[in-house]
Amino acid sequence: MNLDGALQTFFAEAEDFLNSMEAALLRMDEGDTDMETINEIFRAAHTIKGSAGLFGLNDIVSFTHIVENVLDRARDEKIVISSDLLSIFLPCRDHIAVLVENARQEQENDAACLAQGKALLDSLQPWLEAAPQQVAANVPAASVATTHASNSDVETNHEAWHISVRFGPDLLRNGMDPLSILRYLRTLGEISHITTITEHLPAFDDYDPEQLYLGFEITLISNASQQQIEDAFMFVREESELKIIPPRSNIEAYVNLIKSLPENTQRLGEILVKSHAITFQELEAALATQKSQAKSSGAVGMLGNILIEEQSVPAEIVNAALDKQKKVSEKKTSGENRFIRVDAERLDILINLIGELVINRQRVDLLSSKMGNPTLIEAVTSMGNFTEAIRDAALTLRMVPIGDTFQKFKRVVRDTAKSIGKEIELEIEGAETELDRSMVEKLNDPLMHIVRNAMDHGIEAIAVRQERGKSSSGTIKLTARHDAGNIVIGIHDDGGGLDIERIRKKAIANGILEEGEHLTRQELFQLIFHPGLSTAEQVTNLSGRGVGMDVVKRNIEELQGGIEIESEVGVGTSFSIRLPLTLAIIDGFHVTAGHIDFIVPQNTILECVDLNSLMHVQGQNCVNLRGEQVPYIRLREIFSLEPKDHSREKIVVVQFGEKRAGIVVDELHGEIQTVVKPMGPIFQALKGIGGSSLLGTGAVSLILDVQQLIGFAINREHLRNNAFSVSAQEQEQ
Amino acid sequence: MNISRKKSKDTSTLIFEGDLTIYYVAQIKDELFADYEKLADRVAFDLSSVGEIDTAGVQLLLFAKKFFSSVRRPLFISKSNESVESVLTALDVNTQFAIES
Amino acid sequence: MNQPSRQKKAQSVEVIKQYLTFRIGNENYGLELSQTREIIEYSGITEVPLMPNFLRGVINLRGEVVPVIDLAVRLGRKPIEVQKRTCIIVVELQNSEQNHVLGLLADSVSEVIDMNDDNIEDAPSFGANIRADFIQGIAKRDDEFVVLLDANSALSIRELAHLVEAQLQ
Repeated sequence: MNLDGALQTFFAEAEDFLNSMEAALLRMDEGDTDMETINEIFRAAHTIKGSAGLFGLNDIVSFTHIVENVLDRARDEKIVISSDLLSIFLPCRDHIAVLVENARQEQENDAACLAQGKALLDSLQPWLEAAPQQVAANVPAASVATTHASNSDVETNHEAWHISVRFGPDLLRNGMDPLSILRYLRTLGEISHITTITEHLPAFDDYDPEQLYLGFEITLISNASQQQIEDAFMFVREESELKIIPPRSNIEAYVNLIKSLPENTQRLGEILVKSHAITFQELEAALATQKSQAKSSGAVGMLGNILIEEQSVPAEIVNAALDKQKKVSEKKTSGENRFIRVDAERLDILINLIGELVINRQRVDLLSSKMGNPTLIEAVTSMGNFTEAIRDAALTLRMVPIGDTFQKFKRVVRDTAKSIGKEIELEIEGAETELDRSMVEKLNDPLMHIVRNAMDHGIEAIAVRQERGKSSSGTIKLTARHDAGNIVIGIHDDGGGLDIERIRKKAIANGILEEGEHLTRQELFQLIFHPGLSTAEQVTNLSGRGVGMDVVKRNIEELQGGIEIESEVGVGTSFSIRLPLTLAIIDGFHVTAGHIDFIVPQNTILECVDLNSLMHVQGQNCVNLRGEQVPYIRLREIFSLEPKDHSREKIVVVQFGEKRAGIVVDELHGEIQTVVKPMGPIFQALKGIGGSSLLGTGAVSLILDVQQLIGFAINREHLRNNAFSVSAQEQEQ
Repeated sequence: MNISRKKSKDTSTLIFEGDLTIYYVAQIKDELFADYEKLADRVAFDLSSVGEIDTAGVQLLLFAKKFFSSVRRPLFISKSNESVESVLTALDVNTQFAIES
Repeated sequence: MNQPSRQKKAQSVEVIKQYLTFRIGNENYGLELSQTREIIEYSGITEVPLMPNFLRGVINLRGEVVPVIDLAVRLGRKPIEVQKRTCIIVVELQNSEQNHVLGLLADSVSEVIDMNDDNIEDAPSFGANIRADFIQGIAKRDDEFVVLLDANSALSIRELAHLVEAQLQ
């Protein structure tokens, strides 16, 4: 028996629901009082509770049940969600998260955890007990959440749904039991009729007792929404045939149901009649009319029309019902049902395989051009185009919007600001910008660090802000945008800013910088990432900023990215992090130096030229490129490679952020798609090489870390000649 | 799960002891229908010593009902307990196992 | 892991382990067979610049980029000269964090031998000319000594990374 699949789905779904619950709670905290927001929170709690029930996770059920009750009262406008209540709901949400996590880890909830749950529930007590006068006042508005079903209908509390379900044959084997689904349905209302369909039980020899043959026709009296009822079947939905007929649907829906089910029409009709869904006469008449019309006109008549003609149902009801159905189906296509969950590991396998495909395609390219058969080359080229398209499509599968990551900071900012007595707002821009999932995970910590620092040390205390004539509430802004194959993430605060002179003094005091040493503005800012600059000594706005900032920079560099700072005293600080969109596959340019193959990431390359065709700046490793001085490095030199004979050196001009430099190589081979293979921990200390990749020939090539190489080139020129750094500074301004 | 058989006049009683769940249904099926020819004209299930029962268990009972009636041996439940009864009622199949007079 | 033979003897339980033996220069070495994955021909090593002598480069092992270690240098011998019988023993090491796959250069691979723990002597504290913690034990076979290596120690990723770092500074 394998319960794992469904359970894992539950955990994943629960996480999503908890996230949306948190986001909605925070929206309310910001003053959002929309009923739909309350509904969203309620749905999240309700679904988690229900699903947890399916798996017998009783601690989650009992805790969430109470939370849900309070939410339900808010939904019915019996209580108002005040900021007091919100500050209990947030920890309640966290507690559910803890319970879910414990269940995931298969850990018992310890006494402390249960005590915390109890304390939270106790604090919810005031909102659970009915305050009589309020109830009286608000009762008429109680049914806000239900959609106006049809204008002619009288609102009743008892809504008879008809649910018809044929489960997949492997349901039992997968560890699910229809009984638990029925149990869950009972939490939504009353099952007034149920018929177990046994027609599909096979003959003796074909009967596999672990396979499910039973189907169910269920009448459920409930005020629940269609979504809530569907949620009961969440974990079996894909392999099951599920039809839900809303209350007061016209007879057409039932007739269609009967026609769509595999069992004998007569029998199903009986069931429906038995469950009082329709009357026997209605059914007979509708079936007969449809049959005769089909015969006479050669086409199946619109049942709705038939029913109207026969005046058995008023036209507006039919329309309303059709409308309703349309709404339901629209909701389905525009909502979450368009997504399917895929195990991230499976995706990684696919992307790795595509990586292999890309490599093999290069090998085929190589061979076909060697053979020189034009037809073959043409075919290979077109296959290559498709390979590229497949690669791009596959990579987008792993792309996720950064919004979810940003969203988490809302909570962090809210909680931290409260605890340190500041008013801070978090603004988010470009939440829809996508990047590779694997990057998102690794981006969390550095972002967290920068945001926390901005709150602690960037944004001033309320009094200070007022003194400076700023609004008492500070703002932190998280932004994301795409820029030439990179994603640029910004963290801006309108706090005190970095004092560049203080940084310089501090760096000199700590022996990081020589007195009188010339650094560009950016280089001075970059000093805050220096591990030696983080000390306990207080330097007003800088204090603490040094702590762990070196780790931030290292993390970003591990992602093949870079980070830049801009800041103005009294105005604020901006960090901008530039990252490649994905780490898996890059477009590169294949070069050799000595006898080693290197790959230069394509998105960093500005141009490639013969080194000898350029004017050299005398006495320096610097060329004049259309009037601009560009420092360069020789790969042969910095990697101590043996020179190749007769090589005419080429220079690859690259750019990273604002900086430019040349990389001198022996030979250029051309563009190539490469799958990035990590080099492993042994090579961690090796600077200038960011990874490896396989060439079409099967040989290993080394991917250059352009940012580090540019750093090399500039630093060296800088050491050699201070004058250069001045000119570089000028260029940068 | 253990099934013992008792025969009295025209009725064979099969006494189920243990869980009637997905974990055992395959085994139960083998035992239940072995040598069914030797059973009396009427088959009674004593389910009073059944522990847990799930949908797989209920399905097996429904299958047994269908099978025994195909070999002209009416099946009914002579004894059961609360947990069995509540599950059979929940699926509204309890009436199918009523004693036929 | 350093003194498995001693401990096992104390329990007086006979444990037979299989070792892959190979030659480096005129010495015999052995690695626990369970730690080895395959033996491949020497071909197409890509040199990685600036690396210490023991790190010969990387190879493409069916799509995986695997570092190749010159065991001779690691054991304080002269670097292996590539010849016809030179091969790469691919080993897989279980580390607390993750699995590591490494290639080891060897002059030639000999055979797989079964070794009873009783036939394995502890590593001598001196005289072997090899760091004691690299040696799991010494076995005698056909009048020749086989140095059974403690792969986790001789090929410790952390130590190798440190050596690379030191070389680069």
